[in-house]
Amino acid sequence: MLALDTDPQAHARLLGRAAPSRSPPELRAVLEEHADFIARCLRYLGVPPRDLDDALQEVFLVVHARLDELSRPEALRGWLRQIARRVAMAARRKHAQRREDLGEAPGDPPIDPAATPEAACARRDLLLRLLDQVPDEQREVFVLYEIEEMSMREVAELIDCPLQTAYSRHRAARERLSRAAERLDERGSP
Amino acid sequence: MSDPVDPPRLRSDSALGRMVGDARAERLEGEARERIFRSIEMATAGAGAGSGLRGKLRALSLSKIGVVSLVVLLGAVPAAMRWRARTAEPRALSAAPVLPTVEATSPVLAAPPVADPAAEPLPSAIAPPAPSAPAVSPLPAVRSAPRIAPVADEGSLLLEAKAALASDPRKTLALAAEHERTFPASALGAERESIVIDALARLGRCAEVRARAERFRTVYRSGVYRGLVERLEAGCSG
Repeated sequence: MLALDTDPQAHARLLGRAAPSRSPPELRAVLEEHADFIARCLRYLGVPPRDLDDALQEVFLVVHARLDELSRPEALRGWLRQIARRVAMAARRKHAQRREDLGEAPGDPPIDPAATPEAACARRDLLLRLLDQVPDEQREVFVLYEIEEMSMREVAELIDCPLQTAYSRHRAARERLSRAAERLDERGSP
Repeated sequence: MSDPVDPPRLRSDSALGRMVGDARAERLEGEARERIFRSIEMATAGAGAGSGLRGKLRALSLSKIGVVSLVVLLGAVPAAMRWRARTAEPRALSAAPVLPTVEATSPVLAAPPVADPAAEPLPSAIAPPAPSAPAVSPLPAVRSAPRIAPVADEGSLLLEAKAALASDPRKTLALAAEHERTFPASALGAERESIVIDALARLGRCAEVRARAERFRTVYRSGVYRGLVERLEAGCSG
């Protein structure tokens, strides 16, 4: 942590936007290194495909605006996760509202896997459909733990819930998704 | 007390594990990646010029028309993203249209009145960042009049507000108020609120800083700007 917390002069420098003591990472480098992970987070946390471009731009515009204030470069990934999570949640709410306005049912049945040619792609699409049927708070934990492979403590800190709650949500999501996936498998999935 | 041991992650020996394995391997395809990079670089034009944020924002304002055009062009691209996996061939693209919609429809907290009502307009609301935020009332106006806005507009408005902090914090407040009016349920509510608190601190309006910081902590319980807000609050004297 910087000394800004206790040093009034340093605080004044912060207010005056003095040059940071450490060079912030370059935006392009951040983009290159983290675009996959951010895009994956957004997609599996529920951003609809047609909103993904905008959501990615939104995340990186925030990054651009705030990169010079990142006091600990090692905290970058966690910071990006938080931004991505917020953007994804906003997109999800917007999507749900749009569906409600259009009078659509809140959870389409899973697609027929035989209808898509690439097995891996079909499986990813299926997973997205299944995730859409899981409560948001369980979905978040499942995606961050299973797909992004964060530790459960990191997940709990990120979503601001007790560790045991994160475990419970993960267990509930996994059981629910496993049952649904097995049912699909019995019907002949990719 | 030590943490419980994390459960083993899903493996490819189950149907769900195979789905998750494919998801883990998913990457942005080169074309989509470059398109995103170009659009972001255009939106942040001038970032590498070393002329400080104000210079960057001046460049950003000049390029605003170009950014809007770009977003419109992006809207014509038949698919928003193309994905591929390391272990799988690229999939055929769906023909889903791209809508440059960025505004969230999240509920917004009504703000308690702040001191100095005669002062310049202040953003009066904070968009909650998470479903776990305190219960709030939805804004009917957001539902009845959804606004389709390119994110570049929203981001550039906030960047402009931030750029004015050092030289003209009153302008920052005006721009932030404009941002709130235009994007009442924005996903960038935390950014906007932290900028407002910064501006209020620079103006020495410490009672308002304290009130807004308190509300910020309530709404953004684990936000990335909490530390900054706390420093601003602690450093405000006046």
